[in-house]
Amino acid sequence: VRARSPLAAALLAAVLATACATPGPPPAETLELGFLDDGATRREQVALRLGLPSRVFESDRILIYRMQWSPERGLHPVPWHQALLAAYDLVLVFDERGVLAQHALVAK
Amino acid sequence: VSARRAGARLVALAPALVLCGCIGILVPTGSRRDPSLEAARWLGEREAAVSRAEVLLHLGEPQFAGEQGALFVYRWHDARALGFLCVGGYYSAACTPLSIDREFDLLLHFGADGLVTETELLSGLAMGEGSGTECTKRGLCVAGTAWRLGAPQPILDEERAEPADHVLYERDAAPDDRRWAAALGGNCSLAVLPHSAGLASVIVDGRFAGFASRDGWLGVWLQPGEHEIAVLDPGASADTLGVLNARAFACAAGERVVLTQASAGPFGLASGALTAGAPPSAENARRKRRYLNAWASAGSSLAAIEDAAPTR
Repeated sequence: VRARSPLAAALLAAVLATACATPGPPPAETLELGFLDDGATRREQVALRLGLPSRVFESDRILIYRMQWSPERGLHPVPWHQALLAAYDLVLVFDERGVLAQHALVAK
Repeated sequence: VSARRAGARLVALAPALVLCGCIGILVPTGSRRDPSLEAARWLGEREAAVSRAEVLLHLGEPQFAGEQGALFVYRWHDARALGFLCVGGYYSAACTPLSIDREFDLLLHFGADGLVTETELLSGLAMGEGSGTECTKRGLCVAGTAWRLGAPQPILDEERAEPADHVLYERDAAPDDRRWAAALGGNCSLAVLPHSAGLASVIVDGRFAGFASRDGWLGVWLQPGEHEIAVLDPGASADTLGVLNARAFACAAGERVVLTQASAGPFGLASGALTAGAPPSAENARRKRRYLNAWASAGSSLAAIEDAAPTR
């Protein structure tokens, strides 16, 4: 019986320590990107929705937006001065006509 | 006392020791904020025909992109252990994160057709303010430092917001002391080593100069004269600029000024005073490691360690 008390104390400490942990952002594959449609969405539509990209490659053919997620706002771009808060990279690849060819949300 | 009872006592004692700050906790960590292992495997399997777009779709934004997109660098951290080293007294306790990482820099070279032509992997043990320098067989070197050439740019310059924690340079331009001294010319250099475990913003003369942390110092070239510096910890408000830890300093032509930030709060996040300190170098990193080890065993304060850090 005497041995149970220390074990209970250890368990309580573990529970308290766990309670302090903050949940991380949801997995990328669970987040919806309904406004993006490969083969249909144009670069202008993306720019109007998300603003300036964080980075571009191949003469604006590939755009990258640093994103984060919150329960209130859902998935949204991170301002450049808060780049370190980004939890995901939204990578958008357009074809030569400026139409979205492929996209991916990559967890950082 | 039976072995079982002794074990039970030890289990009960462990949280108490931790809470009173007598021991460090070693907790295995994953590779958070690194490219996923699945992405790495994908890259290894498809190296010959991978395009720049495919790389970005799988690995995300590289830590470094240079040569007009012809070179990407991704950094992996293989954290062996991350602990909180705590020192406690009767009425107070202070903790600081302590990590031992092995870093891997994956360099991807792209041809004119946008396909990967070559991959190289550099690695090094990262702890303290220097993680050594390695050069690829093509003569491209990676330093575990954050030297930035030129004077700080305006805070609105987005390029300066890139958290570059290392720099690439040609082998012939290796930044040893002689070359730096010669390259400085009529300028002076400033090296900033914040106490923050995360990337802190370094503001020089009211302009954002770059990020730095206890694991990666920031170097800035300046015009000789009087300057002001402030270090903004992660999450800190810009309102604290010039209030908590700003200080003025002077540097003369050809001089190398080093400022380190002392600990002033738990977890190394609170801002502390910037003081003249030891120059960041590989040797100094080794010294710091020794001091950290000594600290762990002797239970002294980090401020005392930094005070005791030798200068070159």
